[in-house]
Amino acid sequence: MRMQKCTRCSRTLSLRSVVCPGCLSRSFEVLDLPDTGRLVSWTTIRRAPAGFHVTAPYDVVVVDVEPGVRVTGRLTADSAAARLDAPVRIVEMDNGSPVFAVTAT
Amino acid sequence: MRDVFIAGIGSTAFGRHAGETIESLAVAAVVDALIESTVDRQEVGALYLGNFISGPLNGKEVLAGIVADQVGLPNIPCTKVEGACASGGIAFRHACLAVATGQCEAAIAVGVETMTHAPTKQTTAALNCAMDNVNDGPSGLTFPGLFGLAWRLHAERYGTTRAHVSAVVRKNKGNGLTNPLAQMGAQLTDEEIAASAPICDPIQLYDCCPTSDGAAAVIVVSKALADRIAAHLNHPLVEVLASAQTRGAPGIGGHADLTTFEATVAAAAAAYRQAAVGPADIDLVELHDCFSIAEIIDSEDLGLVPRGQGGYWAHEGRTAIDGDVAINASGGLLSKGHPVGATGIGQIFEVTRQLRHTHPNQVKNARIGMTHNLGGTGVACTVSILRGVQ
Repeated sequence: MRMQKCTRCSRTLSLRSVVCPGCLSRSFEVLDLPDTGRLVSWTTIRRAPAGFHVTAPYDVVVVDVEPGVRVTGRLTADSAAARLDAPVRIVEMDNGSPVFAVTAT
Repeated sequence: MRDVFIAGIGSTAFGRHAGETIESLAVAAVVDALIESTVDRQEVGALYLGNFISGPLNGKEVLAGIVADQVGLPNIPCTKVEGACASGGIAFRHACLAVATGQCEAAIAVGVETMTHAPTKQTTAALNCAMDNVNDGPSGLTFPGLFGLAWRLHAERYGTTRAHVSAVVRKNKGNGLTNPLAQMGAQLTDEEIAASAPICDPIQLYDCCPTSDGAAAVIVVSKALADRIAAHLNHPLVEVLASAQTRGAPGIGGHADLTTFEATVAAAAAAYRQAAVGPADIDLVELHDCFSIAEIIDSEDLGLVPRGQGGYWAHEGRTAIDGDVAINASGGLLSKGHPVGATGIGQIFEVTRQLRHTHPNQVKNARIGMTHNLGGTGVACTVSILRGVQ
């Protein structure tokens, strides 16, 4: 998964940030994040938002990809069951959003 | 800053208002508040209107000016403010500021929303405008989903159970039964709540507030004007001790801990400081229970209940009308409904009635009350503290 890093103050930023909120710099470099992380929390969405391209139910997860980088994504339909603090790995990007699978401990 | 007092309040019932327009609801609430306040319209120097989605759901904007025109106010500044579900609380704070800073002797805050006429898909899409649609939206997250994530962590860390959360639902639905303005009061059992449709685990249907139409309004005045009208009023004045507003993270990634909203913690701290009171002084609170678990989190963030104890306190009855601190004696959003832009002013309406000692669910000897209104994924928050002048 890719994000951006401010070349002036090293803050990690979303790919769509246009200015660093820390130092107002516009000078970024692309940052390749590890594709593994820890599951912070999850919920099974049983009613999807209008027009969403994935059919409910699906699990939305919050994952700490590395200390300080917290992302929202989804679990693959065939992932092992979610549990708090489970190790996860990104299996694909969908519409800019990471899709994770729980990996064996 | 000058002292500010609540001279008049008005509210429509919250619920389904087929046949009404968004302006007609707002006008009804403003007229009730104006008449009750005895304030001459020529003395009103500002109007703030809290609303979230009149554009996408009604195709209408500049509502503040439209409402002022319909009730015959002078050509004063009229401003619509928006902060998702906190829009009403923000409107109230701005009206208080207009009086406190001496810009005018009287100001109106009105909140309004109409939602039930629109198809669910359209309403959901409009509400989702308050989400971080760059980083969170593409995952398929919904607003109940945010609180499902929070519930899971709260349960893990503090032992909060389905029964604890159901105690909040039972209390608020029960309180709503005796509040004539509430949309859906009910006498529910734990079994009925646990059997309701799953929405986003662990959240079920009875954990969610309904969509609603409604409006509420309040007239705030300076001390000088309050003194002048006091003799004509049929009710006691209520003093605004504090009205604080803060910003929090606009998306999930910015929340280091999903079991708390930093905007609420900061707004409460600022409000306690402004009011020179502490959590132990608060007799009752109307807080933002958009979902049952939110009440538990909010009660802890406001410092009214020790961290992690929100579920236990609800289960032990300590947040009931006759409990240690009365939380959502009105029935809250779960029972009253949530006409988004009106909710924050509706809370002021409920607390004012409590401090006048005329509430249908009266908290005994209520002297100091609080309101808490939270928007988006915790991006905007207002906390106000009011005191009865008996």
